[in-house]
Amino acid sequence: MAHAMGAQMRRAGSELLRVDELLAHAIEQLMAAFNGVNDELSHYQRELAQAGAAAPGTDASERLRQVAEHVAREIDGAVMALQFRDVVGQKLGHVRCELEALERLMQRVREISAAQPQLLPETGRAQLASTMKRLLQELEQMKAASPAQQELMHAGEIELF
Amino acid sequence: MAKSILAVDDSASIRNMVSFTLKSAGYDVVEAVDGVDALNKAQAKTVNLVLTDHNMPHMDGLTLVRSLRELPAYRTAPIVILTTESGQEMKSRGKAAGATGWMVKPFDPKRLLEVVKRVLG
Repeated sequence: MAHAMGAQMRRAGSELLRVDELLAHAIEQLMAAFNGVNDELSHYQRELAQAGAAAPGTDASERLRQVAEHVAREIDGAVMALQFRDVVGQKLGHVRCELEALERLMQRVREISAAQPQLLPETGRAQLASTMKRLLQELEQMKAASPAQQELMHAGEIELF
Repeated sequence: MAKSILAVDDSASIRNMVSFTLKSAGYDVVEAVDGVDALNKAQAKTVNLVLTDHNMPHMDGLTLVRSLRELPAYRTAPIVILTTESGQEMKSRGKAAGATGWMVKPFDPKRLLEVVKRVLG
């Protein structure tokens, strides 16, 4: 049973890693698309500036300027929202660490069970209990070490020293 | 001449987003994947500002700040930490290490540019 649980945890860890990789790939593609949009926008804004210089204050040039500003604002919003991947990646990494620790715990249980295939003597039980207690304490420490505490994707605070 | 910024983060997507934001505003951006890479690149070419993550493999952000502060070219240069960590204790450690500021992710591109403009004077 301990062996099956260990294998299940390894599979879960691999799945989490795969999710993280897929997210990274998706964001990479989106950022490449944004770069293309941004290049177009820069080109567009240069033309706009030239057109504005030639005919300042016209309705058409004002409308074009507003559209360019709107697109830039939308891209800024998307850049902020896409940072969810970094927070999610850290949380997934943290969950993987916990799964690995659980797997180590299962491995230790297997070792002790193999050494004592019959009923565990009192000393074996005490050793098992002590090992499990130590590993569970490690798990608790890993929980406390998780750096990403964000619950919503609002802009974080800024402090200049 | 455009000011140069060293963007340090082990996450490729965050490096992309920081670079995208800074380049769009006309800055030259050099990217580094961790503290060791950043230290090498900062020594190879002096930059005007370092914007670094904290939790990275090989060398974390605070160690990078301390290492950079030992170099004459970076004794007073602005170094801003951009991290998911928001605890006061970590911020105090950043300040003690010599960081110029602390920004918590996710960053708003507009506010990032405001901070960059401010610290670059």
